[in-house]
Formats: sequence, structure tokens, C-alpha cells
Amino acid sequence: MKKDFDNIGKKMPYKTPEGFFDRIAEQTLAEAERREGLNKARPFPRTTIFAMAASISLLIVLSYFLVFHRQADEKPWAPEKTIVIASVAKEEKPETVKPMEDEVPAAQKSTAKPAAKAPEKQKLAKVKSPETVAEVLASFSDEEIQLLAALADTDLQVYEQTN
Amino acid sequence: MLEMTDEVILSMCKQNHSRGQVFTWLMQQYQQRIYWHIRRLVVTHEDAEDVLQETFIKVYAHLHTFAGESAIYTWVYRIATNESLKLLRNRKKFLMTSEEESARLISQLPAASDNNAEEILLTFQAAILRLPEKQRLVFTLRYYDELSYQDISEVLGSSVSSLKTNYHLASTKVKEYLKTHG
Repeated sequence: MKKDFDNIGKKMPYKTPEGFFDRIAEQTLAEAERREGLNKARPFPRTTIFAMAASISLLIVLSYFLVFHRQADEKPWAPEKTIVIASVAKEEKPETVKPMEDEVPAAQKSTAKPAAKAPEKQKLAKVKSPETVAEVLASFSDEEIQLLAALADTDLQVYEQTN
Repeated sequence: MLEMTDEVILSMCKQNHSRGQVFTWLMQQYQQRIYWHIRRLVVTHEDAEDVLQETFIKVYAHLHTFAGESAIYTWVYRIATNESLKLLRNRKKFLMTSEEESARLISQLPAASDNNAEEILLTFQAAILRLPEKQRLVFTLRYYDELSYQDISEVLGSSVSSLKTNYHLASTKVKEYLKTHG
């Protein structure tokens, strides 16, 4: 081993400040005791505290996203929306049809017999069925048809349902 | 006077009141060897001082838990080596290659050295700093600290045969460097 580098030996080119080795032991012991005192004051090491904080933050973020996505899943999708809108439309139809019925007999007074209460009920029932929708549409005023067209533009599914 | 064997040190560490005494004794016993071991790895005195302090602070903190599975001095060497490597990794810039890191350390050599230092000593240190990390560690522990391969194995956690190979490679490279630059 020494033969390989005989001309060099174990000398080092580095220098150290004077008295360095005399004071380093004392300084290090003081620093070690100071840190131990700090660690005693702190029940958990700093790394443990950071790890706990990170875990809690991660849990909060994860739970937020889980809840958020669950709520998003619970939101009605298109078919359900159609049903809701369609049912609303069905509920609304008699109300909009009723005043029309008042007008329709007046307009058709010359051609149709005065409608009895029972046929009126049948007519209301028929309005709900898709076969009589064309008749109902025919009896709509221009404004109402424009309104329906506007609704059909905004929601194609409602349009499809009503047709 | 009681001879300070590892067993005596360990038994004294169990009694908390003598911990400071044991620590002071350990530092006085090993501080110079450990300092020079660190200095050969990190080059500058400031870094070596920091690492030496960190090493012995860890020794102080874990002395009472030291199981005595290895000799105390190999344990201290292991802590010092790990602390030195930790500092070098922290200093190493992002995406810096090991060659660039070696060049950075070599560039610090003139300022860290004695003005009257022989040129060959600087060249020799530069040759050591150019070695890959493992070879550098094995070479300095074997050549300067004269640790046995068994002790180096405890310090670095490598097999003796691997250490012998690394030492052989390292000394060949150093010799070649000295031939071309010496």
C-alpha cells in the first residue's frame, strides 16, 4: 500500500485554523446538549410533525375530492333531466291548454257541438297522450308556438319529448 | 485508571450522568481521525467542521441506544461518512454529473490548501477526488486511515471482496493520473 505512493506518504495539503481541535469538543457538546433540550421541549421530532401535517392535509384534500365527485355523480344526467323536464312539461300542459280549451270551443262553436264535462275530461287525458299533441299544437297561438320553438332550441330533449 | 474499552463506554452510557464525560472522551479520541476523513471527502475546512459537529451530535444523541454490534469507532466512521455524503449531495446542483461534482471539489483544492503544500500532494488529492464515490471512500479509508477491509465493510456496508476490487481499481486510476499529471 505504502509502496505504491512512497513519494507521497500520508501528508495532506490542507490547513486547519489554529486551536481548532482544542475548542471543537466543547462547542459540539454544548450544541448537542442544546439540541437535546429542544427535542425534550418538543414531544415529537420536527419530521414527525411535518409528516403528520402532510398526512392531515392529504386526507382533507382527498375527502374534499371524494365528496365533490360523489355530489357530481348524484347530479341528474341527461335522461333523468329529460324525465324531470318532461314531467314538468306534462304538468304545465293542462294549465296552458285549459285557456285554449276555452278559446277552442268558441272558435269551433259553429263546427263542433258544445263539449260536455265528460268529453272535456277525456280531451284533457288525450292531450297527455302523444297522438293528440299535434291537435293541441294546432290550437296553439303563434306566440305560444314561438315560445315552444324557443324551448326546443334551448333543450333539444324537451323538443323531442314534446314531438 | 479504567481502560476505555467499548464495553466500559457502553456501560457508562447507560448511566446518564456520565454521558457528557463519555462523549468528551470519544471526541478527544476520534475527532482528529474523523475530521481528516471528512476533510478528504468534502475538501473545505468549513464543510468539514460542520460535518464533524453533526457527526458527533448524532453520536451524542444515539450513544445510549448504540447496541454494540460493531466497534464504536467503525460506528462513528459510518456516521461521519454518511453525513459527508449527505452534505455533498445537498451541495450537488440539480442534474450535475459526478464528473462535474468532482471538478467542483477539485477547484476548491487550492484555496483549501496550505500555501506551502507540495504540488504533488495537490495532484494526489485531485486524483482521489476524480474517483467514483465508492472507490474514493474505500481508497481513503484504506490508504489514509489504514482500516482493515473488515472494518471498511462495517463502515460502508459492502462485502470485503467488492472493497478489494474497488481499492485495486482506485489505486490503479490514481497511479495513472499521477503518471500523466505528476
